[in-house]
Amino acid sequence: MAASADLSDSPPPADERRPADAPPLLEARDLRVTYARRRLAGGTVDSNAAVRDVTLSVPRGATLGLVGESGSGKTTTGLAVLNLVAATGSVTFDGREILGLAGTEMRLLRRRMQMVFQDPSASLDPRMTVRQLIGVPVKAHAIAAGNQAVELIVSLLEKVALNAGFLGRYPHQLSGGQRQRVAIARSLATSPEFIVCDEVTSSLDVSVQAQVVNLLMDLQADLGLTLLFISHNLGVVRQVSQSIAVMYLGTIVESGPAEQIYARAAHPYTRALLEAMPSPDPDAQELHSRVYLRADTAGSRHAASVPVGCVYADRCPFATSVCRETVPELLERADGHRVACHHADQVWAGVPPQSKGAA
Amino acid sequence: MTESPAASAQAAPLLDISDLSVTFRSGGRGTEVVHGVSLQVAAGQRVGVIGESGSGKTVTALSVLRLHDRRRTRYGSGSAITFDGRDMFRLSSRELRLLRGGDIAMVFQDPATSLNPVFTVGAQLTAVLRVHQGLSKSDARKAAAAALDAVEIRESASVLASYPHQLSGGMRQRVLIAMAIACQPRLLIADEPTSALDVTVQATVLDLLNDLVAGSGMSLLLITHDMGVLAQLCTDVYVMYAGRVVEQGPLRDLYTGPRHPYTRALLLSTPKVTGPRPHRLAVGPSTSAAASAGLPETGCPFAPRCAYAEDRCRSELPALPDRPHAAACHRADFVAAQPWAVGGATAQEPLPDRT
Repeated sequence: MAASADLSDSPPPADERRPADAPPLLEARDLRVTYARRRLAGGTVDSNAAVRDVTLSVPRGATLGLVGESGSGKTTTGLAVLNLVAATGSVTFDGREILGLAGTEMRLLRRRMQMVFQDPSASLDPRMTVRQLIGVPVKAHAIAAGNQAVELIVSLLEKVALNAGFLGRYPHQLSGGQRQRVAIARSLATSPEFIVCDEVTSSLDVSVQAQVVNLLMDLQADLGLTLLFISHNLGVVRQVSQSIAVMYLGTIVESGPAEQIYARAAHPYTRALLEAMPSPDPDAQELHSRVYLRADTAGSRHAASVPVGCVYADRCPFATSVCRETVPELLERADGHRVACHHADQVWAGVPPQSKGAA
Repeated sequence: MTESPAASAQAAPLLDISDLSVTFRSGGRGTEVVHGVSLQVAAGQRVGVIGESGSGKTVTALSVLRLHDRRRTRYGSGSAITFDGRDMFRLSSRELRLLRGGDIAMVFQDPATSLNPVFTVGAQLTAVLRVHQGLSKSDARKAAAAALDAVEIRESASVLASYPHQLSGGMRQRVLIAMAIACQPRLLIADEPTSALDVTVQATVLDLLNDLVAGSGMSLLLITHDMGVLAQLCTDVYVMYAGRVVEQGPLRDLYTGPRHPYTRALLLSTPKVTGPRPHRLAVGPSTSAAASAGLPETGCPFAPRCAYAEDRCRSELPALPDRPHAAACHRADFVAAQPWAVGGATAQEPLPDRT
């Protein structure tokens, strides 16, 4: 990871937009989501929480990137902070507890918090035109009617670099990038302050992905949006986020300012994720040297089969007996950089694990 | 690993695709989706084809084994594909069937749909070995276990007895790779083999493919949209856009000095985890968006979105010169002379930001 040491020299332009010590717009504390129990091939389980004790906060106007592999609980966390699944713990939005809210109270809050999903061909009803699709929240929240509604829909389309010419089109008449723009326009209809973006660029080609990423960053700057950006793509997350939270098996194992995490991750899993990103540089030295990633243990686990002790222990090249007995706490190392690892000092210092074979 | 075996690149190619054009018919209309693609893979060479959805890369790869629907596919009159000197267009269906999974094996993108859900992994893997190598049931069983060993699957007995849905995505892709290499193919065609996998699993599958290809000396034709994945496995690159090869050459030359504006855009629009973070991502045009907007009738297909385009580009289709590193661009020399930081860290590309 030495190659990334020069990160600190580059000015982080996104930070200019962040109000320095803005109070969090959204805060989750000890969030826990438990899905109905099911039996897995791995044997009996003593716990079946998809998300356990997740604590995170997103300052107003900032973006928190939530990364992790499939099954790590990213999407469930996104749903939970919007009060879309039953969760315990606490979620405060603009200082107000929202878990347990229902009916009219929650519906009024929904205007202020929205979600954009991964696959726009699934999240847009194929039998509705663009005008009808964006019209749904406009009507449901009684934002505008008649000509005013149409004007509003056109202005929303313009915000996402489309135009009135798209009003009559159906989703199948749009390209993947255009569909995702329509989904984003729909989420903006209620003038939300907070949007959960769940893998919004994953189904897109790389250049279209770049357009959508730029669009989201522009919209954030123009409208002061606060984003929870869920993705498995560390490159995209780095581009949009001021802070990062890394999830593994339903828990946050590392969180902190984006540049710190990318330059000097202190959790072995974060290091493995970064190491796994294939570099297009044919001369990249780290191309085939795997330090943190072990072939025999790579692979997603289900959150339902959580071992005793550290969730990452059975994949971790640093793991010792303490890791298999005691759950590491998410402790602050420096300036908002938190890590849940018994061996964080060693990882942070860049000392490699003892030996790949010793397990 | 990425040292290009220059000698092998100059030997007679194992796979030679020449002037391939593919037309799909639907509703009485024909649409040509691949236009005059030429591509060579020498014995032991690892070649990557990169492009976005709709660029024709998969159609090109499927043409090698003639896997398109015969009733609605037409190949151009000048099109030729030879494998080991044999004209693929003249093979009988029986000969083709023996070649598929035999000398030429394929790994597809989605491991969930490439395996039959109602048969065990063992049944599917032994079937391949019995058909292609004429093994007895018990020999095939042993060979299947050995094939799983080769892809670093430890508990081969339990995996052989499993149904596909009982395996993780990475495990399924390993099984498919085991199936592909079980008959020691001379050419492995891998179509987005890791796109459906998590990044950590992708890394281990790439390592595995790398070891297998290097260890056996088989040739590789990789289809991908990800330059990072390509760089892990290949030494030579073909960049496709709108059904044509727009740039080709050794990976290192392409990466350090791209000659086509599209290749530059492709390299710049990928967000990276190291190096300086750009204020905005460079935005290249996508083939699918171009296709929905309609490609130009004449001239370079890339011209409407190209910041370097001049009058000639709109009237005259640029040819791909016959050189080791070549770009189908009238202004390739000018483009190549523009400032370029390796990896696109600081290069500012004047590209239109629109769909």
